Amino acid sequence: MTWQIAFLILLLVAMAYLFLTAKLPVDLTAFLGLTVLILGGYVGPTEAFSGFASPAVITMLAIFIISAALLYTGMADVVASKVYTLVGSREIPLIITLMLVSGVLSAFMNNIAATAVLMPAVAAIARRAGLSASRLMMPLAFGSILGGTTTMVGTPPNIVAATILAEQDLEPFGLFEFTPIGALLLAAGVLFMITLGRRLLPDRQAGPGETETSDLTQVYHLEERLFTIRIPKESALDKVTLAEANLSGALGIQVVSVLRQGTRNFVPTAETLLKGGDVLLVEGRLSDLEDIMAVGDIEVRPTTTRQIPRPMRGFTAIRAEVPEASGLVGKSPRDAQFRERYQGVIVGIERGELILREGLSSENLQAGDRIIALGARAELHKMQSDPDFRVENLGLASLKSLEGHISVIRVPSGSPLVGSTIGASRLGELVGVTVGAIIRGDVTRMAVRPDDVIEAEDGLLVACDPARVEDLVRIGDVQVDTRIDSAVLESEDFGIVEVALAPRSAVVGKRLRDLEFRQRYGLQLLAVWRDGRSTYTGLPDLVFRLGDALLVQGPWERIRLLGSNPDFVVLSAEGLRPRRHRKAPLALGALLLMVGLVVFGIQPIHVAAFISASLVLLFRTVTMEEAYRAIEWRTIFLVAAVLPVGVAMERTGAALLLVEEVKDLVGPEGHYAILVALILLASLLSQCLDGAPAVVLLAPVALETAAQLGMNPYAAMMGVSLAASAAFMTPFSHKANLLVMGAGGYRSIDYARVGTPLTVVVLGIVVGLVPVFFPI
Amino acid sequence: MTLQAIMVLAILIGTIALFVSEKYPLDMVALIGLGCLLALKLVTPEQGFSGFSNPATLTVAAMFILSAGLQKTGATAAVGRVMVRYSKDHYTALVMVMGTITVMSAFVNNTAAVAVFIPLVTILANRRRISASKLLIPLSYASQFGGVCTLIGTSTNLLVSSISEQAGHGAFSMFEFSRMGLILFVAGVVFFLTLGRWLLPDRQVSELASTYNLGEYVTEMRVGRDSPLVGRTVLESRLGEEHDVTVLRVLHIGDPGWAPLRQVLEPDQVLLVRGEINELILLRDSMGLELNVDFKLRDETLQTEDLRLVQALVAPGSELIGHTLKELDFRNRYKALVLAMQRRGETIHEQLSSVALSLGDVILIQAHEAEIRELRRNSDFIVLDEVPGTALRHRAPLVIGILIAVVGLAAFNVFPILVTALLGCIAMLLTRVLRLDEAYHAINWQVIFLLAGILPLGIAMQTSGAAEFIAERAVGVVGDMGPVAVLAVIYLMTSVMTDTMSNAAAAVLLAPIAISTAEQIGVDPRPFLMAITFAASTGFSTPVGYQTNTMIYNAGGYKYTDFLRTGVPLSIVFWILSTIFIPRLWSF
Repeated sequence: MTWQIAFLILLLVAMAYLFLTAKLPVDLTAFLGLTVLILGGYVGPTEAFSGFASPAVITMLAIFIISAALLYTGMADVVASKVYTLVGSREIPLIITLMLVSGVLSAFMNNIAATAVLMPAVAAIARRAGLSASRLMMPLAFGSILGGTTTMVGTPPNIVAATILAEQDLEPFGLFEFTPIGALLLAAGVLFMITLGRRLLPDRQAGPGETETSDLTQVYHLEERLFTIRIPKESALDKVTLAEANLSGALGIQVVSVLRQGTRNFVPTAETLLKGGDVLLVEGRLSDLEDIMAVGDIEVRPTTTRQIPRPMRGFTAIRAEVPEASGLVGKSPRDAQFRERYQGVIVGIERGELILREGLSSENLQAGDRIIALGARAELHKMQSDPDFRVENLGLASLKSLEGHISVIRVPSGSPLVGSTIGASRLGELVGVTVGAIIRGDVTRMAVRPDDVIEAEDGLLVACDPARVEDLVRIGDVQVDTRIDSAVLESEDFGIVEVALAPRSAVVGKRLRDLEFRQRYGLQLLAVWRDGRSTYTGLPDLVFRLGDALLVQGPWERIRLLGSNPDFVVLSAEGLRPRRHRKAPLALGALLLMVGLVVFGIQPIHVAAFISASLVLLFRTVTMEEAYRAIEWRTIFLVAAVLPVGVAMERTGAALLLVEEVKDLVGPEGHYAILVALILLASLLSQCLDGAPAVVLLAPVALETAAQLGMNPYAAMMGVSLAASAAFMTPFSHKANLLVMGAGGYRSIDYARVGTPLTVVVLGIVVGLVPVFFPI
Repeated sequence: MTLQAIMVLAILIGTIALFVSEKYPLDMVALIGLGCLLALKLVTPEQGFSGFSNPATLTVAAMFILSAGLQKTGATAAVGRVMVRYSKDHYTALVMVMGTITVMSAFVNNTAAVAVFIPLVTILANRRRISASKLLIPLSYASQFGGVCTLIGTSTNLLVSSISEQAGHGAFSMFEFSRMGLILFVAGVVFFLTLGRWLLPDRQVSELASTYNLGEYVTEMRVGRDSPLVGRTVLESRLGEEHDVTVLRVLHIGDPGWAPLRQVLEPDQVLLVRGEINELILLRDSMGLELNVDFKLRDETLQTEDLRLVQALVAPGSELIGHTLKELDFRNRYKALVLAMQRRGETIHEQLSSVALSLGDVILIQAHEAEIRELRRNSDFIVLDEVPGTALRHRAPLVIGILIAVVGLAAFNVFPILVTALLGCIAMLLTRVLRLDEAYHAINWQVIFLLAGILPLGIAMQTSGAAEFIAERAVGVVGDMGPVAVLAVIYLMTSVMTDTMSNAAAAVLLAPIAISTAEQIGVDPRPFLMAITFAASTGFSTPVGYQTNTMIYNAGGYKYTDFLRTGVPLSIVFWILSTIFIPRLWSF
């Protein structure tokens, strides 16, 4: 073993480590490897980059473009739309048909495009058939992955395998040489899915008896979070803009749409003027809202320090600093039992420039804080001698920094607050109100405790943000209705749909806030489905990932617009975008031409594919922009960058060395064992790397082994490339899996559960059948 | 001439015709041409696809990524700010603008450099009270002759170098062009300081409203007492859909809201509206709106404390290109109102929403300051008043260091430029200056596929004998006049082809002919190849011949003829200088 080989093997180990751990993006790892090869003198610069012009890369490029043409001309939609009418709504026939349709499509399209194009149709079928999407989405993805194995151009691993054979001066695989085994694999996959697979598939259903329109809201558990509020005719909110009404600030709810008599439902903007009589569809936590509404029916009188009623002697305020040595530093007033110690309530904390007024009882005090408290003079007086405080001011003048934030709230006799305790009213938590004292007739009760009961005609002396309380009072007269009519969610002009992110979507990695989703698309995002459950909180800061499914609501015209946006796949009939149907025959013709050129041996596959790709461009079945978009650059670059690694392995003799080792290990009769080992290796590698680069890396070993042992090289390559396509076990092992993850509501574990047995089945068939078709 | 040569010539002529017609995108034409070559077996598959792995193609791709890194960290803008600081008057401004952009674009791709410089030059012009039109053409031209100062400055340099290498005449070194480039730079600066001053138009910066002739389109209308619009909101009035009239403001209302759609109209309200005069007259009669005859529009009318007027340029690689404002839902998406548009030297006011945007269009936008800040951050636009800061500023020295290393390693022949450029890209990715998706996004695939598609045509011309055939004819005409005359002719031809079609295509198609010609008259082809490089990298005479020209076309308020007036004399100067100096620097 020369040092060159040692270094190369070291490099391979390092690359494998990076591939497996995904510490760096795989394509970056590949390029790093490539540069090391160049710098180490393993390959010349020209040779290093020859991968970009290799037949494999050119074929993949061309197939991506032809796939795009089939997609944009609606060839696939036509097929998909027929499925339901022909098959009906029973699950087993649907699974069979869908897998076969996606399989046949992806025999000539790339697998990801075939999956993406069928997703809207599958979602629509699931809905009409009353099935959960989770029953059909995974079969769809698996069908297209398996279908890819049926032809040489169906999937990158096959293309790469054929190319590498050609580079070794062996006759490359023919276009349909994969077909017998591939078709059997597809058949086995279908069989598996309708038997065992069907039992393992999760059922993401909310429960029986759901109606067609609202099943999405049930799946997303939105029924507890969607409700309507009505603004009374004479409401203070009449002729107020949505921004001014501050519903989200005061009530913590998002307005989804406005239902107004005489007009179509619409998604409001910040400038929308509310009208008395409007019904607003809102999203939020209903229980919170009900508590807040209980607060609403009150009367607020902002007071100045001078006007604070003094019905009782001994009521005062105090302002004191918390010195560094104080035992209260790091403790919250609640922990320090401030109320019990001094019979007072802290209504404000000054911290430097800041004045804290909310959530004070759980705020940890810092050295240098100044607290402002209300309470009985006699008790507060004691603070002066307490080393925990340095009192600066005693008397109502202490409230100066809270000027404008002290109010008296009167609770009318009819208010729902009457009879509830201060704690149960959740005034502090919901509205940010700190109750300093209760004024009841002539008596002022100080040191208010959470279990003090509010009585009618009580006055509450509070520290709060008056604007917020005013908002609340203004909102107070709205009426909440929890029974959501399905017509509210979905009507002639309004709809609710699920949307998946498209492969290579530009929104991946962006936050909703940055996207300005509502403004940009005119739709309201209600929830995001991720990792098998739905998320409704913190949506603005959620970073979109491929595999997310979004629940959006809005006008149909906007939904249709979203459907024609290449960043999204709308999972309903509206997702079937307007296509260039008239050009479909041209796209199909170009595809047939490619097949013809290859079958009759007129052109090698990459030239034939390129010619028909340039034809679909010439016919304008796709524009150049659409074509560039459709190309999976990552796959292209990955293969192009990894190809020289194979060259280097062979040239330095590293491959030979590895093979020698293996040869000694398995002995002379081990052809079969070697095939199994290669297949397992390919399968393992393809779980973390794309299939195509996995083939590139294994091909030199496979071919060298075959040469050394007198094995059939075709059997070895066929085994490797088919095994590299069997990527079912994780959502990340194939982009088609990731694509349906959100739409099917799957978790990673679902892929492991269904995918692992399927992988076993597929690998078993490959091991069994390859020697039959290619005797080893 | 063989049948093959005839077929290659036919494809060549077809390709050129399609390039010139501008009916199809350049990259598509190149790919289809390649498809024809392959289908007719005029090139082998290896030759046919060699364009994709050609060092020139890949280096250009890598340079796009390096430029993106420079731009993202604000390194380019930092250089530009130096330029603004040291420009005191017209002369220093001209020298500073041309000097800095030349240095920048010697290492960064020209469009990227110019995109960053346009707003800076606009600021400079405003501050020093120089008309921007006096500086923007020099900016665009200087970026082009900056591009020919180094091997990596522009794609055509790499392309010709790679063709030369393939034909067995050796690649060019990193600074091989620099001396000639410097001569041209000095000549260019002298040209603009003297003759160019008179040739450049003086479009004095005035109020935006009058620059865009908004006065004829924006006016006040009063809602009559018996107008049918009373009680309806602006949206319900359907003025926009039916009359292409936009209500910009409702005057004398407390909150001067932006283009109020839901404002209910009341009698005697005064509306500020935008629309064509005929439509407004129609409205006066049918809708009971009274025109204010004495209205005089000033910028202040359209701006408040908060609302501002700005111009924004459609940037190269913008996603808006090819889409209409309506498709983009521009108004809601950016919360900005487009009042008018400048394109191809004209101002457009009517049917704005159905005009498909193209590179270099300048749109006049009215929006809130906050929205304008958003626009500035959006890479689809270049807002012509300020250069946005970047959070990655502290990385700028690192990025500049990477670039210097890339150039240095290649210059001292440690590694070929492609390898050092790739190393540079990986360094940027590993230091997280760029993310991988940003790197992929930075690559202009149009250019890459154009180069990859057109290169095999050059090969086919050589292998089929088509180049030889043309060269024979050419030699028959000019051969007797000596190599210098031939060089002059080659330069002229390249120049004309660059102005009418793509410069890369011109270089790829003429280089094999030049090599054949040189072989036939028995001289070294390198001076000819240099002539092609310099001519193909400088397209001055039309606003569409070179992308940087398109970018400044509307931003400078130029007319088509402005480019002819300044570009043709300068091209002639360059032609003469090249004919004199190229044979001296690279002997035959």
